[in-house]
Amino acid sequence: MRIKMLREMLNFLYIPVVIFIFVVLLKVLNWLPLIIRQVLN
Amino acid sequence: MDIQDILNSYSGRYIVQTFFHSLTAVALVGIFLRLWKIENPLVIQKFRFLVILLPVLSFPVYHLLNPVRGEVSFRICALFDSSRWLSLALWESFPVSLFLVPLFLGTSLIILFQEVIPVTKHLMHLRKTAYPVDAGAPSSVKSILNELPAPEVDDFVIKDNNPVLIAKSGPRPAILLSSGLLNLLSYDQLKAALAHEVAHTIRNRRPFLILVFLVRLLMFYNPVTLIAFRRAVSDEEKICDDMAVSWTGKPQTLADTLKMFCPEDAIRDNHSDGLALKSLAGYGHIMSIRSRVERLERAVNQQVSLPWLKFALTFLTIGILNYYIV
Repeated sequence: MRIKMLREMLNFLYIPVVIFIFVVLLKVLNWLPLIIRQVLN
Repeated sequence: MDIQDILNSYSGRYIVQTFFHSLTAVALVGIFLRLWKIENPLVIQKFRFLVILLPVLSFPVYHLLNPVRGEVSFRICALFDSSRWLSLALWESFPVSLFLVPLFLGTSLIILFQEVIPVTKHLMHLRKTAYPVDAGAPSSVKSILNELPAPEVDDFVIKDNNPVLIAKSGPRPAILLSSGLLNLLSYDQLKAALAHEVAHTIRNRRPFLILVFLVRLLMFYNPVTLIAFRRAVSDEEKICDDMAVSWTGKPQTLADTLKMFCPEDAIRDNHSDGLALKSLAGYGHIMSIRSRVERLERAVNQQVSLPWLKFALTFLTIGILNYYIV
């Protein structure tokens, strides 16, 4: 029972990981147009 | 007035931001559903409603919370500034914002021709015509309906050799079934099919589903909402399957009944004839039935621990991340 509860709690640790990946991805996508502009011009 | 001016107006910014907010929501919901291995359609549908409902209000609510959210000072610190992409011109002549126009226009046309016009026609047809009743339902149908939790559901038989089974919602819910279907199905299969339709009549009483449909019409331009809504409709079928199985206790019987509405060679025949699929909607319908059959035969895990906590955390994650997407 305790192991099951612990596994459930671990499931919630996904959230900060997903948020971190999203933040990094969004930041990259945010800077990409500026890089493209530099390259194309 | 060029495309850039339109997208920079209040309504233009609303359309663009709701689109990007929907993209974030659908990605996060998809990731969390997969990570948490949620297979219960009732819970999955609630998550999908987040994708449909949240972006509608996000833009005005964020601006109410922070009136300077649209200004340059905020955009510089934002996680994602859509105007950077929309103001980008490839080779100084081809603006990226032009990609969005056919996307929004195409989605609007799909909704107009696949949903607004058919639904309006259907409603007008229902108002004008009476049921094409051929005969009263046989006693087997009546006894099945008595066994199911189906209070005040009328039953009608249509003279048609094809297997037809429709649940009509409204103030007087009814189930229409064809004489062809009655000849085709055994007692147990008929019970499974009727239980599924009874589940629809019970669930269609909820005004919340109508609200979701109206919100979805408000987001007529948004392709993400279009897909999320169609998947929520597919979830609705799975929810009704589960309700039917909980009453009959025979998932395999319901799966066998569904197969009759979608023969194994239905898709292959369309290709072998060398013809294009009659319609994308028809293809989607066949695929939806196949996925329901597969699910019933696999006996998926319905248990979800702490569903409301997971829902609330997903809601908060989407809400916070979208605040920084302008």
